[in-house]
Amino acid sequence: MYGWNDCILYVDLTKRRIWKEPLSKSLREAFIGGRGVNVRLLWDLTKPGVEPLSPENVLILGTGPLTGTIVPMTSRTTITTKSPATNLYVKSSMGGQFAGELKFAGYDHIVFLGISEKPAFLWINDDTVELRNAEDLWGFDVRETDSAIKRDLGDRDIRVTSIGQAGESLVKYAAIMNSVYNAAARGGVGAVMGSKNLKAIAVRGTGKITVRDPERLGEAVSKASEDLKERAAHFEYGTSRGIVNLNDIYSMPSYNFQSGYLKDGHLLAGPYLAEMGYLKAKRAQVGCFGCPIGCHLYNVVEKGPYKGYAVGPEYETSFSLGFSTGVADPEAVLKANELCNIMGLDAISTGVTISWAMESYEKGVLTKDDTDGLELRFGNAEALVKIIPMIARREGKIGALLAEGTKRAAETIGGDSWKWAMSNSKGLEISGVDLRTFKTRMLTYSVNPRGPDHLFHEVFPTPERVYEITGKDPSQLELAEGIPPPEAQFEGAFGSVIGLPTKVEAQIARWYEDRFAVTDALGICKFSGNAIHLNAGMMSEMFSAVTGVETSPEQLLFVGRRIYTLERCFNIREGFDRTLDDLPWRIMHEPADWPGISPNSKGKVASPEIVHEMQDEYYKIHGWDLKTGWPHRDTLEKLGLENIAKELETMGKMP
Amino acid sequence: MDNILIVDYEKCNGCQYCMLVCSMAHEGYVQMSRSRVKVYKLESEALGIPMLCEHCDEPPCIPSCPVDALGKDIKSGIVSIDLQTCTGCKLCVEACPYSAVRMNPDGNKAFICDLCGGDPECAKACMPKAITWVEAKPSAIWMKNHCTDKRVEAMERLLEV
Ligand code: SF4
Ligand code: SF4
Ligand code: SF4
Repeated sequence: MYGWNDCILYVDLTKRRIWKEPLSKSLREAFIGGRGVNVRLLWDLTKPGVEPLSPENVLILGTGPLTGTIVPMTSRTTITTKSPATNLYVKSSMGGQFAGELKFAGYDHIVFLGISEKPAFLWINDDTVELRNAEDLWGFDVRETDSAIKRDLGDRDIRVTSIGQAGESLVKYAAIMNSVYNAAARGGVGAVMGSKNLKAIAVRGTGKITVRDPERLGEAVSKASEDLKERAAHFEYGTSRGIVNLNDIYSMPSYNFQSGYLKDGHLLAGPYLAEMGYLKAKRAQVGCFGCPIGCHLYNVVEKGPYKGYAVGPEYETSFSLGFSTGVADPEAVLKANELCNIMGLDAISTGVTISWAMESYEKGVLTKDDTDGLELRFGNAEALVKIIPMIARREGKIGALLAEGTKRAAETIGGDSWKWAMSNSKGLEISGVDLRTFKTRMLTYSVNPRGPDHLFHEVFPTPERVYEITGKDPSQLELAEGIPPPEAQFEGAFGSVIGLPTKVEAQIARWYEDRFAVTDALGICKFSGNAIHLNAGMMSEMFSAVTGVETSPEQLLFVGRRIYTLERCFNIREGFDRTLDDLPWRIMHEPADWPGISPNSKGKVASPEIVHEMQDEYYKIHGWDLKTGWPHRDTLEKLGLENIAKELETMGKMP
Repeated sequence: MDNILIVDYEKCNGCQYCMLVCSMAHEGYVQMSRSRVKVYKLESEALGIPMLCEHCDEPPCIPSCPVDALGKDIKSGIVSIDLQTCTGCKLCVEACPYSAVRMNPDGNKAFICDLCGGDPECAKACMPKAITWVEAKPSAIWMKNHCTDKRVEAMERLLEV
């Protein structure tokens, strides 16, 4: 077989049984791999209403058919399960070196069932797969786990995926990490792994990956590489650079979304960290498997109370652990980043949850008694660094409270604190964009099946793109030409000044989400942008050349839509309806009118009316019912999801 | 030799893309153990050290071979292994100070970088320019030696961890 290994590895942790099954042709064709095959397996292998942290939940890791070929940037592993944070669908994806090694070992997906009686880790040595005792690893952080496994098994080329203390303590936003610093962070996938008593997966693969048409693939890769080289030049310092500009225009969410500015916040961005001598090199410098771009920073703090080293920080880390908590001290933020990494926490949810606690403390809803004596105020760097390990181990009153995430913590503490809990009704903490000033993302963050973040459709509509998306309708040309560049879109200019018709907003969202699903199914990194990820023609060319399954861009995007729709169906099966497609209360009701904000953005909220209007259009073009938000039967049938429709119908979940 | 390969590990991001293209170019498929360059990694410190044949002026591997399978072409300067003669005894693997000789996974023969016959694929693929293929001017030769020494030092540390 070309590209794929035709193999799913099943591990029943309860019965300690390990077996292989082929990745069937129907599954490959309907869902490709990675995120796609994962969601289909999740649907089949869990029963409705499954408890996320029970033995009945499954944990699925998936790679794509392009990983292990010369297509650059194919490092992604998608992890799929039912989320303990939201009680809904979650997929979380990580880069690092794991996916390639797993492919070379001969597997496409791993499915974990049941729960191990004692702490265990899975050791995959090509064909030999065994569960090993991990009692001596339990309590180790991710870095210690990684080196202990490599040392004990005597091979430094082993690649390790593991949880840290946070996953062991079932923190609702615990991450799964590989190559030490690469996180599948969102939605508490690490807690699911912890609940299964599974500390780590170690893999060594020495096999080969063959492709159907090397010459054709070579041509496509050369073309993409040219584009990537150009792109890489614009992406020095990886994701972290955007911070400077956003902070300068008062659009960088700070103080738990009460402001758009943090004094000295630019110091948390790559160029400044490099200037101050914290970075290994004056550019982004750490690459995932097969990624010559290497978007990650590597930092070292040589002395002082915050001494340490780690990969990062990313844009989102600096947002959540720095801007949102009001901490602009680079050394403290670097330490906080390191702690999240090695203890295995989602940096977004960690920072946003701590910010919620800081605001609650300043408003008197939380007292010193609740915080175990910590002065939990915005800007308190020492408290920030102290509290992260407490969360990871659920230590003290405050550690246990914050380990539950903002939604549950606000329910426990009560008062008005839910109003500044920055998660939506699904229960996931929001990522770092102020939606009040970014209209298209009000829509995409609200409908995202896992919760309000950017990785199901990170929209940056350029004029050319909107023209393309609206079907090159000449009457739209003028509109398209009026669209400001992406940087200005952040400033609110996009939504409020241009005021694109809601129908166009809906089309933009869908244009992106199809491509995002395909990208995740193929195992490609979204940082490849227009070179691969947003270029359906390139993806279909590469997919066809690698697998020999001749597939047009349209067919590929159709698979993307099938994947995205099935994810929604899973949520519906688990109790979802339209009321959960919303945004954090503050974003919908409290205007952005802090000092310094641009007049375009002043007074703006993502009002329920605007969001609903966009959603109506969006549901309509999808063929979903406006009242429930559920897909109609013919929508599912058109996508080849007849049996899903049947199951939903039996449950009374057909509009 | 008109050109030389300079490998500066301080620019290497550890992605191993060079290994993918090296294997693909020589074998028509990807298998990491068939890449003629190997990127040694210390993931906790985000370190990648690409090691490959330096085509030394006085290659210690050549005298180490009991059957004279290794040789250096005087004109091109390229060191190569005669696969017909190689018995797979691994003495050259031990003799090479650059961890550059590896064993072919099935044939049990030694293999090394062949500079892709004068058009190195890895140098073309490496975007951070950790591997470059440059004209063999005296300054470049100095740089090559300097970078090689740095890698040997870094490898010593990596092997200790
Ligand atoms: S762009 Fe960044 S995240 Fe993506 S594969 Fe490369 S290094 Fe990893
Ligand atoms: S391609 Fe370049 S950056 Fe990547 S591992 Fe090889 S030498 Fe290092
Ligand atoms: S020069 Fe050619 S043979 Fe040598 S390591 Fe690079 S790609 Fe491989």
